[in-house]
Amino acid sequence: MNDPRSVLWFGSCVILLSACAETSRAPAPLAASPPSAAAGCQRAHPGLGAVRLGKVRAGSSVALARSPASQGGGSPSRVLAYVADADETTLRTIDVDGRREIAATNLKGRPEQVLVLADGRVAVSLRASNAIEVLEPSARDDVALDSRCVVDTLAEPVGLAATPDDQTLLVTSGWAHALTAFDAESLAPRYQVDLPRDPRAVIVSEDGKRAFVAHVVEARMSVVDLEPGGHAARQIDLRAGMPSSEGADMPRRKGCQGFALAQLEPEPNLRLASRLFDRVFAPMVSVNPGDASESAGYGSESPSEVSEVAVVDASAERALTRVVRPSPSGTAQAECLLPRAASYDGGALYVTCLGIDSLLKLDARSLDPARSELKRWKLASGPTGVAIDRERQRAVVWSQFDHELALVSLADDSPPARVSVSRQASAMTANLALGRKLFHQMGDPRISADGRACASCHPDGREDALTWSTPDGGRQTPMLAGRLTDTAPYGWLGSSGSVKDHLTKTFERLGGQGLAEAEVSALVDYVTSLVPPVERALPKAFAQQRLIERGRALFESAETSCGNCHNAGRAFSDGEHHQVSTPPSFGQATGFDTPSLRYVAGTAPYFHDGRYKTLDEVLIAPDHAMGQSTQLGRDDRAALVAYLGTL
Amino acid sequence: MRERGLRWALLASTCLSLGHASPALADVIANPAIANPVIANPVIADPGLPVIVTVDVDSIPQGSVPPPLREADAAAGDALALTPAGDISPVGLNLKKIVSKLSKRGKRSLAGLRSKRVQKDVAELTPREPELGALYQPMPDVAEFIGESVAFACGHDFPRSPMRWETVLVEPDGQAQLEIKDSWLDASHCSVNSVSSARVAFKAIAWAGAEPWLFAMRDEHSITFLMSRADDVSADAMVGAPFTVRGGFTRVTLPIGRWGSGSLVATLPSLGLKLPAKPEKQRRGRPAAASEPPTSEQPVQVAIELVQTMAETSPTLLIRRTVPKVLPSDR
Repeated sequence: MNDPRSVLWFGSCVILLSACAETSRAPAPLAASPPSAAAGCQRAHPGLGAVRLGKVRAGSSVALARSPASQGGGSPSRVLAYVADADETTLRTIDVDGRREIAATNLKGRPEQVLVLADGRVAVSLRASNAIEVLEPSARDDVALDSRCVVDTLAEPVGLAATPDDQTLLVTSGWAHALTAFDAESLAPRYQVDLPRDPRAVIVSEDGKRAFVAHVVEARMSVVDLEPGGHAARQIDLRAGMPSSEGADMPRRKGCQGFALAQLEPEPNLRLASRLFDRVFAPMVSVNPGDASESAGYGSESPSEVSEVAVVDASAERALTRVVRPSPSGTAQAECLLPRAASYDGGALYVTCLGIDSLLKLDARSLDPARSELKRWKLASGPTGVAIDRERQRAVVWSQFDHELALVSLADDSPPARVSVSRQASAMTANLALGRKLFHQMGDPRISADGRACASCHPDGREDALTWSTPDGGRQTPMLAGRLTDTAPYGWLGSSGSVKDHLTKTFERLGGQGLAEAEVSALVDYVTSLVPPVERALPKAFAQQRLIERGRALFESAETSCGNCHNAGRAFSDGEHHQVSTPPSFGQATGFDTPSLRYVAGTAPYFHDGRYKTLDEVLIAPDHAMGQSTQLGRDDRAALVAYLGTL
Repeated sequence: MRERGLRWALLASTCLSLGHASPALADVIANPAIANPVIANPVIADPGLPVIVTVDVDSIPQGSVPPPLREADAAAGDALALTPAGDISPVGLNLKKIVSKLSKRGKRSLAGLRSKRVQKDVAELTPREPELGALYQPMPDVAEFIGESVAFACGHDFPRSPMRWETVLVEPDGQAQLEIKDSWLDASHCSVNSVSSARVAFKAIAWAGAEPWLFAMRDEHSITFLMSRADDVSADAMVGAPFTVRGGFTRVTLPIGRWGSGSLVATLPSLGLKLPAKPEKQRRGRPAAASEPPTSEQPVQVAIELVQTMAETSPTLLIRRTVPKVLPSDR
């Protein structure tokens, strides 16, 4: 710990020092080629097979359907669960009542979310394949679904939702930071809306006029107008403050882990006086990364991470939760710091949490339901999705890591029934599976003293868009996925020659006791296997191509000298240290390691201390010594940014 | 063992009582699992879960706490028809001049703080008897007062300043009265002039066993809560500023408006609104007795939340109480 080089932030495996360096594979410009429609998405055999159970119109990794009773009463109606098995290219069909897997459907890519459409078709987002696949059930539940079409989307389709009239299918694209509306029947694209980075879950208001979108980072929610005549997007600030014992002003904290959304649904059984309306719930984590300029060390004195469910007034479009108040010591159970899915039912909010592998039942009437926990169920590892079967008062939860479906009774205290789901041996090795569990493990003193997990700062294996205080100064969290190959050394000061070495040092810095050798190896295997965003090679307009070419020329020119350090042949790094701070900052003796520029466009903020919010800010900033870009005009900077967006 | 048993009995009784729909408590959610987690959910035996109830805001009586005297009005003091100075027995306070009891060093330091023209007296006001009271000097733009006692300097040049003495009386039917007495501190005569008094009725909205512990009253723009003495209070509101008085009891006013929210968290050493123990006289050579008798009660964290979206016709009032953690060894 005395060696400054050993005090790097965990994420500093890849350094993002740069100025002329900050940008990588840019999200696709929305003006570029729109997603394409595929012929034959409609039902081939209308009315056949299972139909949507209830009125669930938001996607999850598990969705419920009802299989109609067979003619003549040969077999009764049964509830089916469609499971998006993200480890494989498979959609699994589970007979919920029979508690067994009855079919597996091969998909064109690995699924992220699944949504049963009004006519019984099943839409699946194929995240790494940049596509939506639409399937159709047949008369038999126990056979694979028929693929009707595969529709291209912008990069990383994740969240799915249908409008209340079931005419439109909405898809969020994480890397392309966009919401795309498709005709629900033909899957013809209707319009796209640009959003802030990392959108995930999407839900639609009861009147169908607005969509609400969660964002993994930056503690915000987007609101998108869905009515014809303009599809404006607005943002709701979800940041809350935390009262201090000194009674000082309450600065707003930051936020992360905004994967899930749920909304209140009208309930006629509630008494009139207490009817709740227009509340949207956003499970997240309230974060205080500390004052980077004071370098207090890995967050603040107050709890650096506190679970929160922000309550939003949908009509007013603003957050009602202004304050987060940690549970009193001695009474807090393990907090939900990696929330991944949410669903509302009967005055309660159900949230699945990675890391603690639990389903939480929270009081939805609360100003911060995270503080009003009513019950929790311990489940198999990796609960990524939840669906509520209201009729039978049960929650169906999919645990991806352990490949298990849990049937949780909401009506009594019987233990959850567990349905083990098959897996292909080749899909994920035991080593990778162990690494993934370790990556998400909360409260493990071997990893960190305060219980945080790797995934706390690296959601989805990427970064939290935060700059953390460290003993060396502020350190921006770098992206892991796709940036660990050929980019040694690791750490902002380049003090680790290997990922394994860096992980070991990271545990020490976080006060962890350290993992066993085999576990570290598993974790290394997992983080180096993380899937980076994949941009579809869309044909670009001539003007855009010219702009990118101009940017490439500038990047490689002696005028800017960007390419001198960010060598295209070495993952846009050179593996060397450079003194780039003006004035020199702590750590100046060795300088900073040149970070890779892969995927740089989607990883703001920039520079080792996160001082620049955009790439353009980096290019015009006079207070660093990276390359020579301050002399560039606006058009040249735009060209350079466009090029960086392709890396 | 006996203490363990008592602790469990206390825990069980408070859980059950909070969960019960008492006459004044209108837990408005029909779903019993949500409305009453204590009864519907035996998992509450896990001490980590809070006890949550909601209250129908419409069931809370309307009233208002009168505005305090303002220092600006003191200039027109003669027109205020003050009661005669000197006798403050109706207020229920003792006024004590304390300068003469100070040490020489104290005298010197106090003297250094005052002008030579000012009479060198300091008076201290304290309750005559232990009471559920809060004594403070209201000031504009100040929203939090700690009201244990008031001391003021006496001198001809000092203006009159307002003082408020609030006491709570818990009535046999479980309701509560907040009595508010406003007075002027008359520095020129080193006395207190009682001006007015008022009573405001509060209704019990939460119970611990058979004892009510939280009372409320509302007006058009806010809800005011009374509870026992709090070690700390943290309050926040979207519309307007919360107002807090902490003394022998705690009074917090949370503003509420449509599409707004307000909340408070307080740590209560004891839930019940009880009179503080009378301090024992210190015997020579022996340490003073503790101001409160030892108790098996553990501090409880309570939270009160008010939420109202634009579309909701009335706010949701949620009360959350953290059940003290019971260690396995206590079971």
